[in-house]
Amino acid sequence: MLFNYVAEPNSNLLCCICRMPFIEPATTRTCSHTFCRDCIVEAIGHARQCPVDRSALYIEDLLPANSIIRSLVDELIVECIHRASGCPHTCQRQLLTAHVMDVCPFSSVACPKGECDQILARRDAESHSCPHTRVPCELCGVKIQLDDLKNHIRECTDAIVTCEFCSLELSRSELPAHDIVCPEAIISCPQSSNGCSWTGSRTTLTSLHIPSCPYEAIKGFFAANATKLERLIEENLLLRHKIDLLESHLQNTKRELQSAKTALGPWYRSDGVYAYSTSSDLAPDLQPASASTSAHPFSLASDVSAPSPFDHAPLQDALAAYFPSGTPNDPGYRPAHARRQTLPAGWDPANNARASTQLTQTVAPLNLSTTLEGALVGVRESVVALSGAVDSLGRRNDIALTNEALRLNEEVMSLRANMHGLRMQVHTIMMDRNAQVTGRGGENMSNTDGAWPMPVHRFFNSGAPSITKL
Amino acid sequence: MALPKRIIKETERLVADPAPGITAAPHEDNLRYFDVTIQGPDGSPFQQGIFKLELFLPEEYPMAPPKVRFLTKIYHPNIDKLGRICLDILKDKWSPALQIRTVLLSVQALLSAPNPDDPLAPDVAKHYKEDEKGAMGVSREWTALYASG
Repeated sequence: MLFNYVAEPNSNLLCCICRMPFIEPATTRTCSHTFCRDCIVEAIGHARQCPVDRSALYIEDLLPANSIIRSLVDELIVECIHRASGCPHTCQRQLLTAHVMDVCPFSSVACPKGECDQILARRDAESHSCPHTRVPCELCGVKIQLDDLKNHIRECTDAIVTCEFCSLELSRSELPAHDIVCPEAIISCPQSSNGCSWTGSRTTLTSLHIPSCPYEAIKGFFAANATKLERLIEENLLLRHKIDLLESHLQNTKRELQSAKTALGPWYRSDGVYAYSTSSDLAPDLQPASASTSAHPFSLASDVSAPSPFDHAPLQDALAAYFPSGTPNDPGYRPAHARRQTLPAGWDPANNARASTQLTQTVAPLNLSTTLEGALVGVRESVVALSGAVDSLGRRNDIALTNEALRLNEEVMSLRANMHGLRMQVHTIMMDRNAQVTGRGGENMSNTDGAWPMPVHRFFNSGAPSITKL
Repeated sequence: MALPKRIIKETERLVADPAPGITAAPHEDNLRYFDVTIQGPDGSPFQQGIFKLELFLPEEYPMAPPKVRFLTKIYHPNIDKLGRICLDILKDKWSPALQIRTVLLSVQALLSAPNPDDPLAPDVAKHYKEDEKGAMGVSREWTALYASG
């Protein structure tokens, strides 16, 4: 609290820091200088020295000042702090607090009725008519705050009001009920929703307007129309809902088709060739088994009985085989015809040995139910099997050739032996002819049935070297 | 922030009962800023001179010292070219028991008693130490030149 002193205080009672009479004076133990307690505490906070003589000083060195000093400053005469507001009171400094708290008519106090939080001067408190005081409404008896009373009167349910049509006086709470039946109330024709623009008092409505209202006459038609319209609206809603559903279905289908296209890649053809051509018209490169078996590029001559899944599978199934499936990621899913036409043993790498023997009879058709990759693998395997078949064929040909050569060899040997016999015979004939020509045929003739005379033979041999030896 | 009562009282006293040879008047727009004049003390080379100073009371006053600076050029070993003053009570020897009046009296006393052993302007201090008479002559010249009116 800042005090205004009536008289200039003795300068010995001034704090050298704040230049005012001491408030709660404290004296230093070390150098006996006196200050206001707050002032010296703050000064020590800045520099730990006495402001007067600069000797070292700590908070602990402060003691309450001598009681004489305390009394001297406490008894200084001060003005009331509300002097500016008009309080002329002066008193000892130590008594001012009590004056301000309890007596001073200019002090601020709370509403004495305790019903509002307004702060007002004490002198006004008694006469204060608190706006928060609750007073009972004269009409309905409900307690209302004073400053809300005016608003309340305007809407009090018990207030007497006059009907604006028939001038009847009644309480406000009864007005809505009265409005419904008031014979003078201005109302519009019940057919106003259908276009009747008539308005008038309730009595004239029944007595005058209704008989003559053109809309009233055909209200049955209006009612029928209204129900019809309602039904149509309902149906329309239903149809709209259906369209929405179908659209979403279409979207789903489109998405699935797109994913199918992506999965198929180059196998997909957009020209609709699969959907509109018969099985035999299919492109030959993509329709391997259903074409004539003799023209089948993968069939051997004995392949006539090879099973051709497309021959008896319906066209739709054949088409479906080109598309992996509705759920291409599900390995367990496979259409029934696809399972039936899964490759025979020859396609299985584990059964390759058996395949090489069987291949002469059967080569499975190109499996189009798998992805493009799978089909390529299938084709590759069939080529492997084919090469195995060609290999075995070659080996069998080798064996047959060897057998034939042996047989021919033997035949040549027997021919050679025959030729030797013939030569011997010709030789004998020649010897006979020689004997006849030279006249020693008589001797030799007797020998014709016996063995060949060896010396002659030897002679002939050496004498006729021109005879070719076979 | 409201001006502390101490500053109001000091200002009132400075204006109503000024110290001899010293005037101090606060600025109207800033009551913590004072225009100060100090007469050169008789018997000093600054005699007859009227020196202008500025004085500012910082927020912490009276716990912190006021800031004082010469505005008039002066040839003095403890005052530099910028007008800053080497005076202990304006620095570490400040005490909240001191006030504007005592500070200005101390500055006035500094003019009478230059202290070349604690210089702020070394060349002036050197001049004062080596040739006090000549230096005082320069001080007189400067006073006549800058502080005559």
